[in-house]
Amino acid sequence: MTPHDPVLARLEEGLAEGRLELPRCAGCGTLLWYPRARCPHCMSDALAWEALSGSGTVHSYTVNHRGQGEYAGREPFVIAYVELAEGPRVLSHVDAEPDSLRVGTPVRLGRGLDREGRLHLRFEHAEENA
Amino acid sequence: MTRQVSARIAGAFEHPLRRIPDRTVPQVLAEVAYGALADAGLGVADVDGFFCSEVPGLGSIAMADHLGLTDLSYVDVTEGGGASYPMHVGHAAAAVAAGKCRVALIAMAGLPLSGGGTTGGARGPEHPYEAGYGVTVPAGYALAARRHMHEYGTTSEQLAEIKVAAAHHAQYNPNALLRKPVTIEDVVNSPLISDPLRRLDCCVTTDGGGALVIVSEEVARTLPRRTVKILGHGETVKHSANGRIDLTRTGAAVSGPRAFAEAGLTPRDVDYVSIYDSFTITVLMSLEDLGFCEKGKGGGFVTGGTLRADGRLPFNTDGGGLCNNHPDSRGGMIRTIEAVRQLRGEAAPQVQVPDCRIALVQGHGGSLGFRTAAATLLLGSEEA
Repeated sequence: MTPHDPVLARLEEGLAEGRLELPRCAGCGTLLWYPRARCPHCMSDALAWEALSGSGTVHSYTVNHRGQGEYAGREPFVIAYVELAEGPRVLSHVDAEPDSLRVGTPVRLGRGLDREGRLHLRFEHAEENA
Repeated sequence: MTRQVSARIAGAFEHPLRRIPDRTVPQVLAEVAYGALADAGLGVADVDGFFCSEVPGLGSIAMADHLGLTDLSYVDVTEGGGASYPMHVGHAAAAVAAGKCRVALIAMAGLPLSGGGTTGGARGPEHPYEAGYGVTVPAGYALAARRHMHEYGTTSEQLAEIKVAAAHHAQYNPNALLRKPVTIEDVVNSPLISDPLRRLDCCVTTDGGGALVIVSEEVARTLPRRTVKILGHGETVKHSANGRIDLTRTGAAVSGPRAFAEAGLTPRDVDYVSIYDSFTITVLMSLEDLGFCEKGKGGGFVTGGTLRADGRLPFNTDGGGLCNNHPDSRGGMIRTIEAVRQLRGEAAPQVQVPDCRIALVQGHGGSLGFRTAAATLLLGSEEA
């Protein structure tokens, strides 16, 4: 059995209410990704969760043509690092035609959780008509 | 020329098979371990240092028992994925120099094709944040390749040059898994695996293993075979940096300068390179990070046969992980063994670098798209 992870649970609680929130260190101001219970820069445990914009740009991406496990047969699909407006580069899916994407394409967070309520970041084009 | 030598590689052995359906991992490990000891002119009773990672059993304990290592005074189970073995060489050299052991055995084996691959470790804390996206091994490296292409204009044709050079070498290796030469067109027309990486940008998956024996200067003087000097070593871990991952650099940017400084050498002194080639992009970024060309200029550097045995910087003359062998999905052992062959003058005659005196080994483990271990070795021939 996996031990309860209160940090992951806190992230998922925010996403369940439509907010992307991450911990920021009250000591040194570092925004944490992935979220942790202690600041990896100054070691502080004084962390305050703050809401992010959900906006970002594609930092890098790949179109996977060889899915494995639960992704077998679901190709092609886009895996990306999205650089959030606030800085962190987060691994995610982008729901978009592969040909419509470039490094630098603006995106926004669509869904943050899967059907089971687990973390699964899905971004989409920031412009409605892109 | 007199150099500071901490220890020497006295024995090396690469399992000749690439698919081994009829043996267990411990059996293959014993074959390569005893093969390397015999190559050195030593026996199992001579071993007092043992280095391994992710072998069957708890740490080093079960394999020490299986191999019959009865007089160990130093053990090290450093885990760096495919970089583990050049890391072990550096650690063994330090242990020998410190007097902790005199004859160190480094051994690895795995059977991913035949269902006997070594087990993965416990999940890391990043698992919930990265596991649900269908990231395969090629996808992780594709994320690095795409970003490198964006920042520096690197092309698929330039990456293909790396595979073409490896395949050119593999035709002269009778044990290589893929021995057929390929063209740039073959590579860029092969099926997309994880865009922009194609099938021929990817290394092979093989059963097998390899082993090395590291000895003190005192022991080396008693042995009949040519030995290889360990001149420099550097290693590091490079990770996702709290969300500021740098996809275009490898850990070689840190481990390389450390190894060169320890050896008192520069990239211009190097006659041959064994570069970890899990994917073509791994080689290109490593060459930049090691200082063989300017950062971002790797694509131009590898173009035109630079990496062929008759080129400016011969690399992976056994065919590398791209064509020859990548046992247990951990390439650092076989990369190191081919450097030993070159420095002993025992590479295939068609690809032996004339008067090869200084070789560099670059290992990587993990994924360039996420977090990696990296290790660099500088090795010298007896004349170096």
